[in-house]
Parts: sequence; structure tokens; C-alpha cells
Amino acid sequence: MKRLKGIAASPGIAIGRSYQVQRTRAEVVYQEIIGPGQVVSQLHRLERAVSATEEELKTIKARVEKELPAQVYLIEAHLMMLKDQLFYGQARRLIEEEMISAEWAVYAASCDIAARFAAIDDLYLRNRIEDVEGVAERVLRRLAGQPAEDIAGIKEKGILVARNLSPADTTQIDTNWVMGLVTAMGTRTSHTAIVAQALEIPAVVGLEHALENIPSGVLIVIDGTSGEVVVDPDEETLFDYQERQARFESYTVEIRRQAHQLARTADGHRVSVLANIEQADEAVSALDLGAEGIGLFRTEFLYLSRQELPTEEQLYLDYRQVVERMSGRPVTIRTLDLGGDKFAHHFDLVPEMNPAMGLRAVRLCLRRPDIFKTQLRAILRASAHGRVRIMFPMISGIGEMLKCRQTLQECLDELRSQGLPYDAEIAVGCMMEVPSAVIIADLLARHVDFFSIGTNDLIQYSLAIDRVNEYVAHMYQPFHPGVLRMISATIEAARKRGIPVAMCGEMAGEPLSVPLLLGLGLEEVSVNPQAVPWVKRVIRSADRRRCRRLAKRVMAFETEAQVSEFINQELGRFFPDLFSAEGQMIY
Amino acid sequence: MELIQGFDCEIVFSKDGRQANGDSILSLLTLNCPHGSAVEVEARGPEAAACLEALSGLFARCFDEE
Repeated sequence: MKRLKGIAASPGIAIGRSYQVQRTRAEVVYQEIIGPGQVVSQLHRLERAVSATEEELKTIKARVEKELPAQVYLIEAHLMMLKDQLFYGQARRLIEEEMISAEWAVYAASCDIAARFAAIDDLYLRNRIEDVEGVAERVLRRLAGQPAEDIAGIKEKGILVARNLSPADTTQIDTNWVMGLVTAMGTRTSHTAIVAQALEIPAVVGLEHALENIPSGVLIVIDGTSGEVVVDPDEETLFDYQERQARFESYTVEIRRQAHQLARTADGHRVSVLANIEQADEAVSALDLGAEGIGLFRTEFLYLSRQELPTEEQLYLDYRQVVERMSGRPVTIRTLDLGGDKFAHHFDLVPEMNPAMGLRAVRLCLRRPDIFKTQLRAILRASAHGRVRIMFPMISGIGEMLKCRQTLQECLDELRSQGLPYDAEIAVGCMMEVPSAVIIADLLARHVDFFSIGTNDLIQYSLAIDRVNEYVAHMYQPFHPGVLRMISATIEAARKRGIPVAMCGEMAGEPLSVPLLLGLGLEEVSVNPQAVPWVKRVIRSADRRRCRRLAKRVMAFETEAQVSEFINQELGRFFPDLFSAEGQMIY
Repeated sequence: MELIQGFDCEIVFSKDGRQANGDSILSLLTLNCPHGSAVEVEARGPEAAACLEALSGLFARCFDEE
């Protein structure tokens, strides 16, 4: 038996056989010059590898035709790429003319193709290089005598173990067979985690040396709530986890049933729990899971999913759909937060050295008033159909906030003179995610109707930690005393000014941090739809006076380690029905 | 492409002075023309006219994609 610890990425417990998926690249030997006599044999090797790959793709195609007919064109494109003169033809030519090995010829041909793709303006087309590389990889694996595995082809129940899973991999996951995921790379917010949560299967990510420690075909237990993985558990451990698994399942059903009631603390304080959504149709599941409104409607999707910029009418209809579905419940629409990691092909952005600190969000919008106003007008028009709040991201100072408000005022005036309806009382707020905004929160509070704390960026900017950088990701600490002071100061400034303050970052959805946040005075949180029932459950067990005492003690600590340790201990005493003595959720 | 392969002719697409061979998906993809771009089509060979006619039908139906 071996116990390992990774990052908890999607709650629940899975028990089953491990199934390793090799997603490391086939190794290519540096340009191996061959003698003239070997040209023919290298050409043969290439031919055999290509026809084996063709068979492989045809088998996949037959399966996809049955199960996902809409995706067949993808595999057909892969088959065409395989036989393309720029790929296969070029590789043959390279072997004949340059006298290099089949491996190196395939690699060189795919590099040439990559260079052509890199020059394409259109983001979608440019990204198709991933398909070409996938095909080249299959051929290289054949040449190396180790064919690639297909996740969709897995037909035995198991828990996937991989170094990393690409978006192409995760879309193929069939939950009839795949019971859980373990990856060596990744963080709580990486693609694997998000997909696992949506599929509602447990996942542990960021487990160092996962492939070395977990061979294929052994019995493993993964706990996606604590991040624990047990390889080859003894009978007692296995029994213990089986019990926990059963409890988790019945508990999930139970808390979902309660999710539709409002959340009040044990001593009677109302706390609003709203949902974060990215697309209009998610409003339905948010309501199903008990959300009292939308606390963060991210609006980037319509900009990233199409070639042209969306029109005012398209945006209006999309926003209106959400507003109407929520029928009178608040819908907080965040204006475009593009730039940084979410590169958009519409803006002709030059690559930036430091995109997280570059031209993004309102900075970009204020430079492109045409784009900004189209969105603001659409939001204002949607406000005629319910309760809309408008929220500006990445505000770093008063000047920026005033410019945003002025642009908004211009849109209001235009709509009025055009006789189009809107909510004249629309609430205008800002995200609190740049440290300078937090430091002047008392001044900023005079110019907005509400604050919403975006912990993801606030932590990243306060601690100067790029959380997608694997070397420093472990220093991304929500319980860092510096971060806690930022949060506390924001809540305090809002309270003094008498404006509402919410939190819409991931921290708000962590059952572990909820009591602390309540103790700091937070009265509204917005979390992923799946987390709504859990957060409501924790709130119901919390007593605000005790939470305040907890917060007071926590704010006196000097290090993140002290805070984490204390919270883990206290939660067990606080909520004996919810957390174990080690601070883990019990079910 | 399937359509082109059915005819005895050679098709060349061009855009902004660059050319792509009609039977290479990679050269077509890297011609850099997203949805809605204008391209020129040139056909050579015994069945060139018939192939062009079939192609323009395909373009008119938007590749049966929508």
C-alpha cells in the first residue's frame, strides 16, 4: 500500500484499476544521416508506419461513426492529412533527397507544416496544427513500435492516470468506463479539473510522478475531495473508502435536495449564494442547483467562439435569455475580460511579454470604445427585462472607473434618445482584483454600487504568482495573510460606505474557506453551479459569532502554514457533522 | 476534396497571390482563408469544366455545412 497526495480537483471517491495513458511525445532521434543503400528501407518503414496509422484511424472512424456521428469529419480530415503531399509526400522526398531516417523526415515535414500554419491569421484554422501534430505523432509512434492509445477506445472500467490530458483527450472521456482521473500536471483550475467537475467524476491533479508511482492495472483509490490517492490499498483502507464513497453519494443527493432553500447561518443570518456562468444555457443548471442569481456572467464566450465580433443584437439576445431565465433574480454581467491568457484574434494584439499585466479587460475596452459600447448597449438593453448589474473587471484606480462610467453614461444617453428601454437604476460595480484598487477601496466605494472580489487574480497579483507556472504554482496561497488582509480591507471599506460586497473567485466555493469568509463579514458569494449546494450546506451549519472569533484568530497569524493548520483543526471542532478532525469534509 | 478527386483534372486555388493545390488539405488549410473569404479557382485537364461546375454548386450550398 502506498499513499500519495495531489491536488483535489473534483470531489468524490473512485475505487478501481488504474489505467495509464501515455501522453508523452515519442522521442525523435536527432537527424540521422543514412547511406544511399538505406533509402529504400527507410521508405519502406515510412510506408508501413503510414498504412498502419491509416488502419488505426479507420478503426477510430468506424467507432466514431456509431457513437459521435457529428465528429466523423475530424477523423476524415486526419486521414486526408496523413496522405497529404505536404506531409507524406514531403517526408518521402526528404528521405530520398536528404538521406535521413524516416523518423526525422516525418518530424521535419511536420515542422515545415507547423511553420505554414503559424502564419495563418484565423485562430481556429491556426490551431488545426494540433490535428497535424496528432497525426504526425501517431506515425512516429508506429515507427518507434509503440502505437498511441485512444481514450475513447477504453472499454474497461478504470481510473485514468496520465502526465497531462489535452482538451482533445478529455472530450473523449466516456463516463461509462472512466471512473476518475489522476494527472501529474495541472492545478485546481486546469482544463482536466473543469471537465471532471462537469462530468461529475472525481479527479486528483498535480500528483508529482504519478506515472512512476501508479503502474497500470493496480487497484487504486482516489479521493477528489482531499487529493489523496492510495495505491494497492490494504483491506481495512479499502473498506473505509468504500464506506466513504457510499456516504458521499447519499450525501450529494441530500444536499442537492436542500439546495433550493435559502441559506441562513445557524444563528439566522442570510447569506446569498449565486452562480458563476460562462454561457447562457448554464443559467438552467444554476437554477436547478439552487443558485439565487448569477453573481458572475463571463461574457468572453461569444467573442471567442466566432470569426466576426458579435453584434449588439446577438449580445442583447444572449444576455436577455439569461435575464429572463433568472426571472427577477440578479444577473451580474461582467464586461469583456479579454487579453492576457484569453487571446482574441479580433484585436490584432501583438504578443506581450507579460500578458497578465498587459492590455486586457477594461484597459483594452477603453482603447476600443466601438467594441466596448456595443457590449454596454447590449447589457443595458437586456436590463429592461429583469434585474441586471453591470461589473467592470481589472479596475486599478478611480480614473479608470470614471472613464468606464462615462462610456456607460454615453450609452444610456444614446438609448434614451433612440427610445430603447433599459433599467435606469442599473447597479454598477467593479471587480476587486488589482491590489491598488483594494488599497484605495474606501475611495473607490464612493464611485460604485457594489464590489465583487475576484480572488483568482487578486491572489495572483498580490503574491506575484503565475498560477499556471508549475514552478511557482504551489505558492499560490489563498490563505496567505497578505491576501486575507486584502479581502478583509475590501469588505470593511464596503461596509463603511454601505455598499454590498460579494466574492466571485474560486475561494468562495471552497467549503474550507467559507467559515472564515463569513467571519470576515461577507454576505454574498458566487460560485460554480456545482458548488452551490455544498456552500449552502456549510453556511447552514455555521454560526456567525463563532465564525467571527475564528476570523479574529486567523488574522493574527503570521504565515500561511499557521492559517491553514489552524483552519483545518478548527473546522473539525466547528462542524463536527461536516469536517473531520483533520479538516476534511466528511459525508 | 472528395469531389475534386472524382474528376480527371488539376485544381489550383489562389488567394492574395498564393496558391494551394486542390488535392492537398494542408495546402488548402494554410491558404489562410477563413469562412467568407474570396478565392480564385483554376482548373486544368479533360474534366476541368465539369469539375468547376460541381465546385461552384458546392460553394453555393456552403459546403453543406450549415
